[in-house]
Parts: sequence; structure tokens; C-alpha cells
Amino acid sequence: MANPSVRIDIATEFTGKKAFDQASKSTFNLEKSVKKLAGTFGLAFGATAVVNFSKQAVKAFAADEAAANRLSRAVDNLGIGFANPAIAKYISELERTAAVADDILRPAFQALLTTTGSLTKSQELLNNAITISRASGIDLATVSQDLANGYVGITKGLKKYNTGLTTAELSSKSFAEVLGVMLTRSAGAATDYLDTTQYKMDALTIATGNASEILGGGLVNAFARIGGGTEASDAAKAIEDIAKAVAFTTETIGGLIGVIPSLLATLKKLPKDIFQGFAGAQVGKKLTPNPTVVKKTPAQISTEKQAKALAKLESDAAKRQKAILALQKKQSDAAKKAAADQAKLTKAQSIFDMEKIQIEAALKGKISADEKLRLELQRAILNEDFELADKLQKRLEASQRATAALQGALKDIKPVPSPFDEWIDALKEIGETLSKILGINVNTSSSMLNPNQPIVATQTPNSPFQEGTIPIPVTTVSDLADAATAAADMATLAANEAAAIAADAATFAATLAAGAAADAAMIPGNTIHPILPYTGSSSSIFNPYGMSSNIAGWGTNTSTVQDTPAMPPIVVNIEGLIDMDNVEGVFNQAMLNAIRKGLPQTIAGALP
Amino acid sequence: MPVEVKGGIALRKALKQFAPDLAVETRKELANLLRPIVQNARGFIPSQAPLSGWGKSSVTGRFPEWSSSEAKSGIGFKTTPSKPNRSGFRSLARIQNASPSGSIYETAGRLNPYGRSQAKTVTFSGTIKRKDSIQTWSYDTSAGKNYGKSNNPEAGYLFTQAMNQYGGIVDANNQVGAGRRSRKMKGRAIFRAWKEDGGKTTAAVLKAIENSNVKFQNYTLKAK
Repeated sequence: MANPSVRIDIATEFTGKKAFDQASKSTFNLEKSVKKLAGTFGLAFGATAVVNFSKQAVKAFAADEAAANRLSRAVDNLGIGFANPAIAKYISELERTAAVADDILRPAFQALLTTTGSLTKSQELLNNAITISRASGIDLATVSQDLANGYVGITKGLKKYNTGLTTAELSSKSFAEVLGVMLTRSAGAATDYLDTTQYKMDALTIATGNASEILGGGLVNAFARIGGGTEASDAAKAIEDIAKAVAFTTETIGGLIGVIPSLLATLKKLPKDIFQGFAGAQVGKKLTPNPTVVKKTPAQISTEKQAKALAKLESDAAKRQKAILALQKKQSDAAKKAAADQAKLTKAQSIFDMEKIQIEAALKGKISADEKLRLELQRAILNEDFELADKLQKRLEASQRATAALQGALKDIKPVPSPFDEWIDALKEIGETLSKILGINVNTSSSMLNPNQPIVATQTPNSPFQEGTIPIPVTTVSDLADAATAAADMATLAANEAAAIAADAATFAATLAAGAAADAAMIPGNTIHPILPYTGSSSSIFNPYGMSSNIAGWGTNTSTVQDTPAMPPIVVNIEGLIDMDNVEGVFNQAMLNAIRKGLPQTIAGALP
Repeated sequence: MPVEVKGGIALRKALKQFAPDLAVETRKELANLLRPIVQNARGFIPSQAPLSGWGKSSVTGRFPEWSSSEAKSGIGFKTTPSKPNRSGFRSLARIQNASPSGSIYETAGRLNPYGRSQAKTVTFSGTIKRKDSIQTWSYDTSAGKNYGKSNNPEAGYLFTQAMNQYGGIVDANNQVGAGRRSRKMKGRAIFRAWKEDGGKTTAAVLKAIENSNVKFQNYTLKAK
């Protein structure tokens, strides 16, 4: 019955509310305990820190346990489960000597072990990975994974280690060769690291990490302060010892307090099928599972069997490595064959290369030796035949040098004496003959033959002509001589042509003279028609626009000769080789461009 | 106002564990001190129902039926520690009026001497067909926890007046000095008896507890 509300309390005692009192008491005791511990370590913890401590401890322990279980399972799957204690010992010793946390070593070793399938090879590669990691600064997990990949021929990841090997070399060289290069470049790094302060710091970190796994990360800093002032390795060992001692104490106290732990232990020991027998009896069936066959523990496997298992493991790993190498060689051969086939295919495709076809066609035509050389060089370049191209290039350069030397030699040749000098004498004789015939005093002195002074005919007293001087605007003599001289200068080798021109000029002059004489005889007072004027040093009376013709050929400019004065020539420069069918189109395009751009369509000196 | 004692519960436990005889003796001594007040308080309970209808059996059963014997027997004393109240105090010795009807008689009109108001009212209306006419009716009634439920606005006041015919409310608070006085020390039976006692029983109870403590200490010294 609840306390009646209508009552008189005679004497009372304050005890506080039960729940509040218990909670307050618990919190007070908890904080008191932690503060006491914190005071010992020089730190200040609160209730939150204690909670975090518990969480971190559990998390660290769980992570460590999971990593160990993964490695243990991997070893079991290789059939060498008995080697787990030895591997754990190896990892532990490596952790202490190399100052690499077991959290990192276990996954690295597992990756190598599952890849190589060899216990010894894995240990060797793990040691190498530590060395390379120390030298390169790349984390051990990455290095070990790269080495595991390289072991099976995947060398792409090894580029980052700056081995100095090209990609082709990395793919062509064997893993052992590449690893040798890497180890050569990383030699001494691991040893040097042991003398550094970083090593001591890492050792301390690992020790505190182990303590965290045992007790929790929340006390790591506290233990670090305890270890202050002493050697890092000693402090690390002390920290581990303290952690283990505290853990043992905690476990012991936890076991002593209350009956719950023992009760739980008792419940755990109860067979799981304790109720199945009872239930099976009710339904008349046997629900109790058959007794499981207890497997032999690793310790129960004989040493001989262990040795056999290890030997088999190594043998299998060696076979696998051999198979991998054979496969790599096969792949390399296949790659080479594919490259050769590709070259053949490229060669076959070159048959249909239009540029090459044109070169081949041009080579079959009538071309000079120099043009042939150029075509062959171009063909070699297209075929990427570097040796032949180089050879032809040298030959072409030699040819060009010879041409240049020839041109130099030609410059040194002295001009041939003008054959028209005799013309002067002939013209003088013509003049004297004319004067005799016409009764005109023609001054045929050398001064009259001055190119700048016209010939002047004067009427003699006995002449049928009227008195006075009749100017004759003749420049023919000296101009003809100059034209002949210019023609001789321009084309020494065309002496025969010049001679023919001179002969024609003489004949023409004679004709003119005859015509003039006849006209003078028949039409008194009439003048002699002048000869058409001409300009340009390279022109003649037969080629008044001074055009010269060159021989068209490969690689040279092609010029078109236009001899008709009414149709001034247009010069079109075409570079390279074109199809003859397209010549007309090229010319038309050039004309259109000239018209569109407003360019003069007549050459200099020609009448439009 | 109760007197605060420190260590009373521990003493009681110690007596019960290490000196049972002394515990029984202490309990009897406290009972002898409290019983006169109880008997006096029971004498203030009317021998018949304060209101004529209260003694009849209730149809709905919501309001406790008056019973003089039950009301008298509901008055008593206890010397076992109670559960802690909201403030964390535990009673070591107390006089109580535990019966429902006795509690109503004890406290009726303590909070509202003139009954609860009927401010919140609802009007009900209807018609009554007669032979020769139709009569309409309507009334207001209250609603809500803190308002009177009776259709009679003076029901509360009349009920309190009926109780007061047998004895008015007595303030048994003997607190002196400044401070608010609790109305919970007012009543017609046990509080009236406690008022008439004038605090003598309180002093006697404390004295008895102290004596038992001394006796227990002597007992333990002898045991050593």
C-alpha cells in the first residue's frame, strides 16, 4: 500500500532519491577514478574521454583481429595453416626490427603470399618492398602490391619508382631484372633509416599502436609521457608491458567482480544442442547433430608432413613462376610477330599510295639524272627507308655541289670576241656603196657609228635631191651591234644562233638598203623607213619581248613561252609534280587569280 | 513540521541485525508514545455518516461510502521507514489516516472551505411531455477537473458545513518564525489530536530514538 497522503511525519531522514543517488554516485566514482589515473599521467580525463577510450580500444582490437584473421585464412587456404604461428612471429619480429606496424605488414605479406604462393618468396619480396619503400618514400602497401603485380608480369606500376627504365624496357625485361635495378637504386636506404630519429619515432608509434590495440588509443599519449626521457625502444617495450599488465589486471578484476562473467562462461560452455535432444524426443526424431570430427590442430601435424607441405608449396610456386615466364615469352614473341605482320601490311598498303604511284610513274619517264635522284630520294622518304634516303640525300648534295662548281666555272669563262665587229666594216662598205649609188655623202666614220648619234645623209651638189640636209633617224647600225653583243653575252653557247642572227641582220640591212635606194630613186624627197625599235638587253628583233625558253623538268619551274606580241605571255610557276591532265586547270586558276587580284597581265616592257 | 534525524535508518538496521531485542524494545517504546494520539484521533471520527446520503451504498461506486469503523481503523501509526518522497526524505515514525472515507472527513474544505466554483458550465435543456402540456427544462453544469461537478452550486460548501458540524479543521502546524506554512498539517482527526498533543509526542519519539542509540552503543561496547 502506498504511503497515505494524510499523515503526520514525526521524524524523517534525508536519504536522497535512489536512482539519482546511484547515478550520481556512479558518475562521481568513475570520474574520481579516471582523474586519479589522469593525475598519475599528468593528464585530465573526463567521462567523455573514458567513453572514447573504450570505443577506441574496441575498434583497435577489432581491426587488428580482423587483419590477423584474414592473413590466417589466406595461409590456411594455401594448405600451410601450421605455418601461422611462424608467420605471426615473423611479422612480429619484422615489426620490431623494421619499425613497420603489423597493421601494414599483414596485408602486404598477404598480397605477396597469395600472388607468389611461396612462403620464402613472399618473405624475400616483403623485405625488398620495405627497402624500396624506405628509399622511395612510397607506402609499403603500395610497394608490395606493385611488386606482387610485377611478379606476375604487370610492370606498369613500377614506373613510379624512377628506375630509369623505359616503358619498353619494363615490359621486356624480366621481373627479376627490374627488381634488381630497383634494389640497386634503393640499396642502403633501409639501413640508413635505422639510424634516423624517424625510426625511433616510428618505433614509438608502433608501440603505442600496439598499446592502443590492447587497451585503447585514449591512453597512448599518457604512455608516451611515461616513456619520456628514456630510449625510444625501451619506452616502447615499457609501454607494451604496461599495457599488457593493465589489460591483465582489468581482465582479472572483471572476472572477480560479480557473478555475471562466470555465469556467461557457464552458459557458453553449455552444449548448443541441449534443447534439441528434448525437442527431438517430443516429436520422435533425432535432432541432435552428429558429433563433429575434430580436425587436427597445426601442432598435431607432424614435422615431416609440414616439411612436405612446405616443399610442395615452394614447388608449386616455382612451377607457377616458370609458367608465368613462359607465358611472358610467348606474349613477347606474339608481339614481335604482330609487329612484323604490321610492317608487311604497311608495305602492301603502300602499293595503293597515290603519291608513291606518281613517283614511280615519273621515274619511268624521260628525266635527267638529277631529277631521277630527287625522285628516288622522295620515294625513300615516303617508304621511310632512312638508310637509302640518307644515301640519296648525300648523292643529291654532291650533285648540287657539282652544279654550283660548274656555274662558278662558267662565270670565269671570258666572253667571246664579238663577231659583229666585222659587221661594222661591212656596213661601212655598204654606206660607201650607197653614197656612190645615190650620190649622197654618207659619213661612215667611226663617230657616226656612235650608238647615240643617228646617221645623217647630206645632199651633194650633184645630187638630184634638193639642197639641205635630210636627217635620217637611223640607229640601226650600232643598235644591231649592241643586240648582237647582248645576245652573245647572254648565250655564249648559242654562238651559232647569234651568227645566224647576224647573217639575217646583214641580209635585212642589205634589203633595207636596197629598198631605200629604190624608194629614193623613185620618190624624190622621201625618207627611209626606220627599223622597229626594241628594248631590253636580252631581246632581239626576232624576240622583241625578251623571252627565253627553258626546259621544263621535275622540281624546276616551268615557263611558258609566248612569242606573239599581241598576246603577252603569262608566267605561271608550278611547284612540284602535277598531273598533266590538270595543267589546263592550273593555268586557268592562275589567270583567274591574276585577274581577280588586279595583277598586270603583261610583262615589263611589253605593250598591253 | 517533522524533525530531521540523521542515521535513524542505519540505527534501525543495526538494531535489527545486531540487537534484535533492543529493536523490539525501541519499537514498543515508540508505539506506546504514538498510540494515545491515535486513540484520541479516532475519537474525533463521527459514529454516523456526516451526511445522511453518504452512508448509503454508492450506485456508481466512484465516491467512497462512509464507514465509521473503517474510518477509525484507518487511523494508526507506523515506525518502519517509508519510501523516500520527492524531496528524498524518508519518514521514520508517522501517524496516518489511511482510509478513503476517513481521509475525506479529515480534509474536506481544507483547500476550498466554500466548495469549488462552477465557472465552467454547460447548459443542458429538454422537454417533458405532460398529459395536457409540454414542460421545458434547462440547467447549467460545470466541466473540468478543478470545478465543481454537482449540479448544485453550493454542494461543496454544504458538504464542508456538514463536516464542520462534527468538528472544524484544525491547523496543527507548530512551526514558529518566518516561512510559508503548509496547509497539509490541517485536518479534523489526526491533526486535531496532534494539535492537542502540543509537540510532547515529538520530543518523546526523538528521545526514544536517541535512547535506543545510546543503548545500542552500550550494547556494542559490552559485546567487545
